[in-house]
Amino acid sequence: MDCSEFHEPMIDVLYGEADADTSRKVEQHLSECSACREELAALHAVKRHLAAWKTPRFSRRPFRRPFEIPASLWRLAAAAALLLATGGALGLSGIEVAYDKGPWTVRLGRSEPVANIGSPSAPAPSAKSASFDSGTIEELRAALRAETALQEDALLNRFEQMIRDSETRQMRARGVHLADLKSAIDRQRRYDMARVTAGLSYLDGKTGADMARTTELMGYMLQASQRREP
Amino acid sequence: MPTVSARVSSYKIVRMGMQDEELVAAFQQGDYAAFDSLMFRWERKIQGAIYRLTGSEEDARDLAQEAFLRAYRALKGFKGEARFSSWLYQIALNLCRDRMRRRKGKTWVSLEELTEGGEIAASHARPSALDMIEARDLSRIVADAVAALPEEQREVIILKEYEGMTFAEIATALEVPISTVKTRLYRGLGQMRRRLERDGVRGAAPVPAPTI
Repeated sequence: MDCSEFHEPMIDVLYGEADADTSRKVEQHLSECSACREELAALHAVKRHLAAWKTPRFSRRPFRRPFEIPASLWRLAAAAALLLATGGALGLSGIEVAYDKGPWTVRLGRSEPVANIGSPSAPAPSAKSASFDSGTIEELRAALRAETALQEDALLNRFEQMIRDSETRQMRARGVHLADLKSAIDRQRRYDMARVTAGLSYLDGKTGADMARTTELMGYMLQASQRREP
Repeated sequence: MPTVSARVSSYKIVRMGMQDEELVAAFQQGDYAAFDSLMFRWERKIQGAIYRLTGSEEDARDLAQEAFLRAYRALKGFKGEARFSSWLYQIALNLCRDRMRRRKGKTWVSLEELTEGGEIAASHARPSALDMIEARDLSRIVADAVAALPEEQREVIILKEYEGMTFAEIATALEVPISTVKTRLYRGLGQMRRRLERDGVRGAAPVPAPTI
C-alpha cells in the first residue's frame, strides 16, 4: 500500500482541520497500517514537545508614527527648487539685461567689468567719509562708551538683586519644608511606637494565655497519667 | 464624573471589540489611531514569531517595529484580499528572510555547536539530553531542533504551531498552495521527530494510537 497519499490527510487530522470524509479515510487506513499509526502518534508527541518552546516576554514599545510630508507640500518644494535652480543657473551664466536704451537686450555670458565709465579722474569713494569731522566721531564714541558702562552697571545691579531675592525665597521655602518634614517624621515615629507597644502587649497577652493553656493541659496529662498507673 | 483614564479605557475597550478588518477600514478612512489598536493586538504575536524565526530577541524587537512601520505605510493600499493578520505575517516573514540571508543562514548558535569543538567541550563533558531535560531545558532543545530545519519547513511549523494560523492563512502569507503547506509541515514534523529521538527526548517514541 502506498502510504504517501495519506501524508497530507494525516496532517489535516493532526491539526483538526480534516473534514468528515478525510477523517474516515485516514481512520480506515490507520486500522490497516501500523506504520502510519505509529507515525501519527509520534507526530502528536512532537507537537506536545513543540509546546515547550517559550519566547521571552517582550515589552510593548510605542509606535513612532512616521512623519509624512503631504503631497501638496512636496509640489511646493519642487516648484521652489526649480525656481532656485533656474535663478542659480542664470546667475552663473552671467546674464545681462538692458532695457533703458531702446529695445530690450538680453546677453548671456560673462562680460568684462566696465570700469570708470565716463570720467577716469573721478574721486575715490573713500573721500566721502572723510567729510566727517574726526573730533565728532571721537565725541560720539566717548558718549557711547559712557552709556554702555552705565547700562552694564544697572544690569549687574538688577541681577544681583534678583539673585538675592531668589536666595531669600529658597531659604524660606527650605525652612518651611524642613519643619514639615520634621513634624511628619515625628508623627510617624509616634505612630510606629504606638504600634510596637500594641504589638508587644498583644504578644504578651497571647503568651500569657498560651502559658495558662499549657499549664492546664499539663495538669490534665498529669492527672491522666496518674490515673492510669495502678 | 468620569475621569480621563476611565474615558480612555472605555475607548480602548470599544476599539478592542472591533474586528481587524473594521479597524483597517477606519484607518483607511483617515482614523489613524485605529492603527494603534491593531498594533496593540498584534505586536507581541509578531515579536514572538520573529523571535522563533530568527532566534534573536534583538531582531524580534527591531524587525517587529520595522514590520509595523511598513504595514502603516502600506495599509492605505491594502485591498483586503487576505486577512490583515496574514498580510502582516507576510511582511514580517519577508523581513526575517532578508535578515537571515544577510547573515548567510547563520542564525542560531546552537548548543550543539557551542559544545562540540568549542571551549565548553574542552572544559567539561556535554550534558546528556536527560540532564538537560531535567534542567528544564526542553525549551532549548526544541528551539535548536526547529532552528536546524530548512527555512521553508521552519516557517510553516512556526506559523502553524505557535501562531495558530489555518493552512489557508499560511498559504496566503507564504504565497504557496495549501498542499505545499501541508507537505512542508509533514516533512518538518518528521525531521523534528527524528532529531528529538536522537537527542533522547522522552515521549517522542511511539505511544498508543490516539483517537481521531
